[in-house]
Amino acid sequence: MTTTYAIETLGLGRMFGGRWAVADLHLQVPRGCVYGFLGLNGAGKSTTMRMLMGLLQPTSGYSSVLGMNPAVTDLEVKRRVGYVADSPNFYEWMTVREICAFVAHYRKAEWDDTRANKLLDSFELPRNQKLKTLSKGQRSKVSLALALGFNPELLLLDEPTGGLDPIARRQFIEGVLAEYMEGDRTILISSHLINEISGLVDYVGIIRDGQLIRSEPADKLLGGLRRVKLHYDIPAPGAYACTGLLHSRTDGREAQLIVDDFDPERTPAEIQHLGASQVEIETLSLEDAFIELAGKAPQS
Amino acid sequence: MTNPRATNGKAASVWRAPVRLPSVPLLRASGIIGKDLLRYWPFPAFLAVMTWGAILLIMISPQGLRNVELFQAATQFQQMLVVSAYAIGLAVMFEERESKSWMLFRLLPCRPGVILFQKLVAAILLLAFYFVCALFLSWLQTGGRVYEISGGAISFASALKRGGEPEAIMAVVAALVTGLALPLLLPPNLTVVAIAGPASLGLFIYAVQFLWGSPFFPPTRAEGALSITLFIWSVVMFAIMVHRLYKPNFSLSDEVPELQVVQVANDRVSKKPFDHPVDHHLRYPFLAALVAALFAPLLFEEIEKSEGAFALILMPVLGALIGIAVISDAERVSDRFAMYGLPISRSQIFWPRIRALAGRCAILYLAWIFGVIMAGSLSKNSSWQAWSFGLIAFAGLFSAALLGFLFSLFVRLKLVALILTGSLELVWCIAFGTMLLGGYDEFIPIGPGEVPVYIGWALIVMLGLPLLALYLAFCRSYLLETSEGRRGLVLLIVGFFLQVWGATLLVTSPYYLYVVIFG
Repeated sequence: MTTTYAIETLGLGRMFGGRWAVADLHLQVPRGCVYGFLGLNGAGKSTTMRMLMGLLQPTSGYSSVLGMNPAVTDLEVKRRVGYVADSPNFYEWMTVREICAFVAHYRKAEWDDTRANKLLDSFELPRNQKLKTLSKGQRSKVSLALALGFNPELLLLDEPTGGLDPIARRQFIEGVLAEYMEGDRTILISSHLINEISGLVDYVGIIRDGQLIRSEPADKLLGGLRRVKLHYDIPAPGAYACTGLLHSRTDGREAQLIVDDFDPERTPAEIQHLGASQVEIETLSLEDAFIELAGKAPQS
Repeated sequence: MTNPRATNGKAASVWRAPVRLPSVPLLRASGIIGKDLLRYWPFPAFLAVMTWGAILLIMISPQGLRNVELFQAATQFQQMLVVSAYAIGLAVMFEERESKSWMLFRLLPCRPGVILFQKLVAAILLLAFYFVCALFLSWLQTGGRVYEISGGAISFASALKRGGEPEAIMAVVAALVTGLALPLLLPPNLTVVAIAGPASLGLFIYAVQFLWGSPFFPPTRAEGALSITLFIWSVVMFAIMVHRLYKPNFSLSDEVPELQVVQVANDRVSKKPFDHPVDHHLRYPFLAALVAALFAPLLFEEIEKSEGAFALILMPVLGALIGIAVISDAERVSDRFAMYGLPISRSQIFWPRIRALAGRCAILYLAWIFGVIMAGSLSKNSSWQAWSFGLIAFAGLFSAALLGFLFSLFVRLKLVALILTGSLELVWCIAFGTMLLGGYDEFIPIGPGEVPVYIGWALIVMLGLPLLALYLAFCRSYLLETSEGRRGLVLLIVGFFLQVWGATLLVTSPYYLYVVIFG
């Protein structure tokens, strides 16, 4: 049976030492899309991914990955899902070639040696070099090659570009991931280099303090968010009434509003009532949108 | 004073003398030593065992054995020095560059050298502590059974005064220099070579002895049996060391990748998926220990009982720590370990390792139990029995902690697993210890000067209970998915107790030294 969603969670939660790292997470990642899973440090992204891989048992809730429950059938999940941890660890005494052989042994039929070799070539990884001698960026590349070397149906990428140089990052995002997405594949990616993945993601989910605060198509999210700059002849009032107002920031005679659910007809009319002498309305980049949504609301 | 760097034309600000940077507290430095010990224990433990075997081999040369008493004295003396050198060398220099604690402290506002100095001071204090303990124990033992056990051994000092046995004395000095100086001065790899050197020298001596004949053959005689045992031991040790240094290259060939993958999987990966490819060779020391135990009856007939039996205590305890090698650093951070993303169940990961560990421990304890029972039946010495029990309790609890750690890594129902393994180990320790001590009346002091039974019980309390607490702390820490802070604290505690453990090893040697030197 094929489900609509590659990943679906219902009230998923994980507690560490009395603190909820992830709480009541309802996440839906449609098949065949790239889902940007964004959050600040410690928001719960990595914990969520580990639960989705079956590496961590959830404290509460349920998750479905490719129609399977990773808490029960983690082997099958691992067989079909590629995972790149945020700081991958390997057997340091192995060489690049040996770690590939090692992983291939456990991946058996799924392993695509040609593809793995192609990835190693494109990443310019020295095959006979021991892992302990590789740089951080090279280790990330090894981790990516191992995750992509068997054509997984779903990729969970936890900060995959950490440590990569700009050229390698672009090569990875525009080359490797774009090529991977040519099939009916799904990617759940978390990254702090948001602008670099903004052209890639179809959906965006923002997690804060373990809870998913937004999850929607990227174009819808960005289409509805606006930054409104108000200039006054007198000191700005500090209190503003506007539909979809997320938060406001006042600085002397200027004020800045972040408005969600922007409506081209309604919102300008409402802003006009705020009495500003000059109004500027800007769209937000994905990174700006993330900062405004995931960050704490600034003081007015 | 003006700032010499203020050359931009602005008013020169008052230059302040550099703030005196804080130094690392001694306790903290001591903790670092402990942490380093924990991280790098298996390999140095291995070296220590090997060194000891090599030195014994040197001492077994015809000249060295002409005077059995001198042989005993020198052996004990060297044993102390080698173990001390090993501890100091380890604390001061072993793999510091890669130690995370060391790396962290580099980032702190400490002057370069402060940490090293503190570690040296800590190591010296530690040794002083051992020595004080040794003197205290020796004072307790003077005139008591230990003196009798030592057989009123001729002192090393008196041998020097008499000017006798120069070859034996030279052998002692050579081994002393090798054992003490080299680990302190040389980088790790060279240390390895230097330690392997005496083993090869020992082999050479034995070969010469074998070729030219010696009074110790045939092997049915005790000395011959000991020679052969030590010869086997040294050969194995040397082979392992060579293998570790020059391990074969398993690299794959591009022409036949599939075949080679299978070969790698079979030869290197599948069989021992979670061990370093040469780690499984570390089992051989236990086999050698078993061989040594089989020769134990012969050994104790001719050579002083408790002196030789000490080897059978030392070897397994050191060897038990080699079991730590089953866990690699990568796996300590299990969630991020690449292996866990593969379609392989945790039981497939867990059981091979447990089997390996259990195999090692089984051989270890078999050899040890055999040796202990034999020695016990021969010596009938209560203090020695008590010492044994203390060491059993220690080794048992240590392995409990080790197993608990493994379980906490791999088993989901951690609490159940930990309680089960911990309880089993504890029951085993108590049962076996009781079996050893059962039937003896020496729980009550027999007469004036015979206090050693108390030492054994004190050891059990001193080492056993804190270790139990440590074990629980370990479990609790990992049950709570420990944060770095808690882990650091636990490691600090582990480090401390490892030092206490080291003390028990070292205490035994100066304790004999006292008897040997001061008679």
